[in-house]
Amino acid sequence: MKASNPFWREKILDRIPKNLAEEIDAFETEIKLRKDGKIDEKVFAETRLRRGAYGQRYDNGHRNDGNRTRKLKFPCADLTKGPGTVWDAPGMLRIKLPYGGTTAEQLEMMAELAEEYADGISHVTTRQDWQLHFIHIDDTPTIMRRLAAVGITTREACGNSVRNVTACPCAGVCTTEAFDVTPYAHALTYFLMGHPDCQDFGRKVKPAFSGCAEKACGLVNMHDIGFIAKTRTVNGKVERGFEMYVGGGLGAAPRQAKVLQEFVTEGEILPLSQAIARVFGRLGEKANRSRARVKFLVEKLGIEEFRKLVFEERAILADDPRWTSYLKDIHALDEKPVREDIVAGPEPTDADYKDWRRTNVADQRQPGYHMVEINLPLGDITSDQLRALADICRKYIGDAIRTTVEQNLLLRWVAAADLPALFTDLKSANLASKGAGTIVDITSCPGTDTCKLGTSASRGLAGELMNRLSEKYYSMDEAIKGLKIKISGCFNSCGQHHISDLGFFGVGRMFDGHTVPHFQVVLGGQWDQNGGSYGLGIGAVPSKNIPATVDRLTEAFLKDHKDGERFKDYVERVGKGSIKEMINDLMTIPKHSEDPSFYSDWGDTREYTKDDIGIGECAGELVSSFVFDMTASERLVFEAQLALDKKDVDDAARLAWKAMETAATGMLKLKLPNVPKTTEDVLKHFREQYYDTKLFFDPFAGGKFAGYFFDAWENRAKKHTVESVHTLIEEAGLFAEGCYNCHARMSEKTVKA
Amino acid sequence: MQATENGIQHVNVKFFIKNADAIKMSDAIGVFQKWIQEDKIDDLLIDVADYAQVPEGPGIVLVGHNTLYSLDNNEGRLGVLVNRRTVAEGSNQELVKKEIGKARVICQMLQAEAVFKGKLEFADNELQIIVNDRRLAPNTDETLAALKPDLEAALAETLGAATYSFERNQDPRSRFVVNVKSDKPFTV
Repeated sequence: MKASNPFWREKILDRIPKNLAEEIDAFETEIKLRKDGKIDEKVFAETRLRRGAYGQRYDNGHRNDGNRTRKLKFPCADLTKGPGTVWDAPGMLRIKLPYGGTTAEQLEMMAELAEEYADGISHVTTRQDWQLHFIHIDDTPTIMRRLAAVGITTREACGNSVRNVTACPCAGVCTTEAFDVTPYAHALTYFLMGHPDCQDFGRKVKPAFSGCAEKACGLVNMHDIGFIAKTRTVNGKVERGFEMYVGGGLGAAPRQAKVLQEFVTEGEILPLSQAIARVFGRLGEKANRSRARVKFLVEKLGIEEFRKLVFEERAILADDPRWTSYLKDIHALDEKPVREDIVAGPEPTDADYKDWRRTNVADQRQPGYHMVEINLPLGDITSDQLRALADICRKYIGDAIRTTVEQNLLLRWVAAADLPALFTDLKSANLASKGAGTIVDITSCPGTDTCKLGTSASRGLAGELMNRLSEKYYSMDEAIKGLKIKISGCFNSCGQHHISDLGFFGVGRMFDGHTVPHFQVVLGGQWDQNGGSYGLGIGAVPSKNIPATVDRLTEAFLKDHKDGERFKDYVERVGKGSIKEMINDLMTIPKHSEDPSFYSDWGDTREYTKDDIGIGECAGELVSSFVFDMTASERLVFEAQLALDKKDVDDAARLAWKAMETAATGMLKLKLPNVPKTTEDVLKHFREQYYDTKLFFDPFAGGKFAGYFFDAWENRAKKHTVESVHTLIEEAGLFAEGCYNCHARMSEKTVKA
Repeated sequence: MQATENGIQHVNVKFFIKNADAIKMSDAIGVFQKWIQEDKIDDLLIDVADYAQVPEGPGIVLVGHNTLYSLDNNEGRLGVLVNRRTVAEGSNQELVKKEIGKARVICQMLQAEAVFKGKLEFADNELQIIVNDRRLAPNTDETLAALKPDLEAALAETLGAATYSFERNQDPRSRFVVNVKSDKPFTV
């Protein structure tokens, strides 16, 4: 899509870690192969998802324009990037930020990418990722390279994989934490990323870390795997560890996580997570995608049985030095202040500064330093703002920046004396909006703006509420200011509506022969204690009546709440029945002829329809790791041919061998619980499992194709010629075919049996 | 300028609105949605993105396959921006001409819409040209020197003979962005 795509690789290759460079090259080759029809669309879909390249609304090539559904005639014709997903249709790229940690240089890179490839906006998600929208798939390898050059990967940001490892953004500077969870989140991220035991899930796994049990920041209760930092004293020595949780999640069927073990020592969190991954990979649902999360497996087995299986699995795991090697350098990621803790002078007394100071600034554990939250409207930030922010960070805090699960940015290590100057600098970049974490700081998923599953315009509603509430902010009672509003475009809860005081999720209702956009009103959720309880829907209100609903409920709360009573407790005390009574009249819909505005959604003038709802990619495509390995093997055969075309005989031979080894490894995964780690082991096990048993033998060719594999290894020291490599590539291709055929025969036998 | 086989690509043009206070940015949502219904532009029109809540942001964007068309408020200056995304055929001069022409058409179409009629006035001596690709057009004096003859020729042909002065954004992190001023008024 971008004319410069072919020119970036060479320019920045020396700044990209070798493994990432190879992965991105491989993805670029897979794009070429898909365009040539040499990779199945399902396999390509899961491949791109595992690299963060996600679908976006209307990528099925259809859109309702308010009058009728029309075909979007993209120039790529029938080429797809997944089932029902048109190649040329704009997509989203999700960019992983482990524990939300980011740097000034990375902010500048996001600014560049948003301008050149997206629509000028970088978006912070509710899981501390970045997202870029309206991206063309052909541009993604270049974007990935530019990200990799500043230390960011999109790997496993989507798909059936371990997603971003989130953590409390205050980690390391928080006043209530047991200890800094940052190094543990970092270690878990890179231990599980690409781990062979995490490649065969039915769906995604989301881990989270929290520094304490009381606050919300880590939201451990709604995660598949969760960790709450704890210490204990043994023989007078303080030991670090975690209360470990499993099986939490929101979505259509929310579940609170259950305690796996009350104290897991720091050295055990990685192997235990690996054991969970293996149990989930082996026993988790695969066929029914809506039941394929850890929470359903925990529910099906019961937490006691699940726990037993996990610890049994843990007991048989082969030792891995990575489990504990990071502990030797546990302070490697510690941040240091850029500015000295100088004595602060008198602070400005103007209302703007005071409001911002009260809502957006919090004390750090370290005396004289503060955290400053930047309240981003709906998680959006422009490229000019990102560059300005990078300058501000370098001036005051260096790289001590985190994204938050409330779609904001957190600056850490701000010296008290710098607060007034920082405020002035942020204000000049339009980044000093007050009210972070208050009722005006509304969380919203993308909803119908860009999500394929969106039912209603969550961002449109959030924007409308933000405007209305901001106008009243100065006259608002503190009890109201402290409430939280979170909105999802559908029941899937990406906007985290379950753990909000006032939660909303999009639904549609038929009335007067039309579909009317609505939001289900969810009350009773709890943000604190890591998302301590989930709210329930009390009824659906037309979208256009939601602002009035918010007014009605907040006014009632203000009038009737007891001193210090939380909204959740107020709802319980008054009763949902009575609360529903308060808004019953707002649930009625005028006829279309009386008020057609009810039949359009916020921020969208089209008449509302549910025709545009597509098939989500959250669940990814169910592709076994055998298929992935075989796809990689075929790609390597192709790359070997390209190397041979360039007369690079040695590289061609290396790639051809790698293709064979990759295919053999895929075959072994069908038989062995653990992937052999060395080439010698792959050869040994392949011979035992497939050759000696004659399982690999073709009815016509016998064991010939396996012989190619063994011979290639025997002859590895041989000096290759163009001719001999040509033969080797051919044999690598035939060996891959042999693997496919063997797999097919085994599958047929299973079906017959 | 970086020598490439393709020359420059991804030219953006922005005409500034003189009376920004007279119009409501969100009114463009309905206009752009209507343009999609009526196939008003020779491009595959996909969707409308609303960034009105972002201060000094991209505003309201009509997303086309080849080009993004927006009522843009970057740098706090409301204007009509066309942002060419796909590769186009032609010399540098032709590409600049094409995008200036396209931006003018969009300005005129907006002026003709009932909701903006009589309210929308464009600056007649200033516009912005961006090459939205840091690899093809680094933001340097060399790029400006190399492109200047093409820019001058394209401007003269589309907006009329005048002396055009170019002010390049000096932030080295920026894209190649030039604010163009004309010593004679032009008609948008």
